[in-house]
Amino acid sequence: MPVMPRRKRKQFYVRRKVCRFCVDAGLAIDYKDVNTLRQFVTERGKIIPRRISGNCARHQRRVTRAIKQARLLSLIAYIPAPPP
Amino acid sequence: MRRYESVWVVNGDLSDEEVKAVNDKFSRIISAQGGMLVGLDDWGRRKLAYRIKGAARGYYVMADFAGTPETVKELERNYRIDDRIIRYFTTKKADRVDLEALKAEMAAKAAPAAEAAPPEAQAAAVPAAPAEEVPSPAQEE
Repeated sequence: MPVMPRRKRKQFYVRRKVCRFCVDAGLAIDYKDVNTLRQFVTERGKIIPRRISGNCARHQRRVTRAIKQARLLSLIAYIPAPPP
Repeated sequence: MRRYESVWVVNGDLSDEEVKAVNDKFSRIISAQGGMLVGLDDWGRRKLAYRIKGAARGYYVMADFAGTPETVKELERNYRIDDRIIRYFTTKKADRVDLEALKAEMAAKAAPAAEAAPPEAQAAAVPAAPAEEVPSPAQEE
């Protein structure tokens, strides 16, 4: 958080993102679990960066790997078809 | 022996009989190569996310088995030869397999009706799951 000026004008809060997989230990990362992986891919099929997804480094690596594995099996598209 | 999971995708344009033949063939290959097939998970026909070899649909099957690296090598060699297989993917689930526990687990699964037999077998049958469970980092409020 940047140092705020004394005048209490533009106070904003940065909501700390936490890694979903760290919070919920029961949540597995698996290339077969397409619905979960979809949440970490943009509409254009790009993998959502850690900065935005809020995943920790370790889990982001696993998510990335799982997405790539799922792509190989054609469970997730590399380049999704444009919506009709 | 190691525990593996192998998914293969059969061309979805083929008939059910042909798909069945392919599945049987690869199940047999696993067994013939010293593998022990734990289960075949049939995902059925799915729409592919993109076309592979002209096919828009694929029939997915996942084999859960215990075997050696040679088993996998031979299995994948056969995948590549058979052009009815349009995609395959194998991962290792565990480095060590307790064969006795696995057999007990399978026996318990095979005979759910006769569940009177081994109640402690199931407790012992917890497979050599990947030990690395994720330690959640301390969270500040």
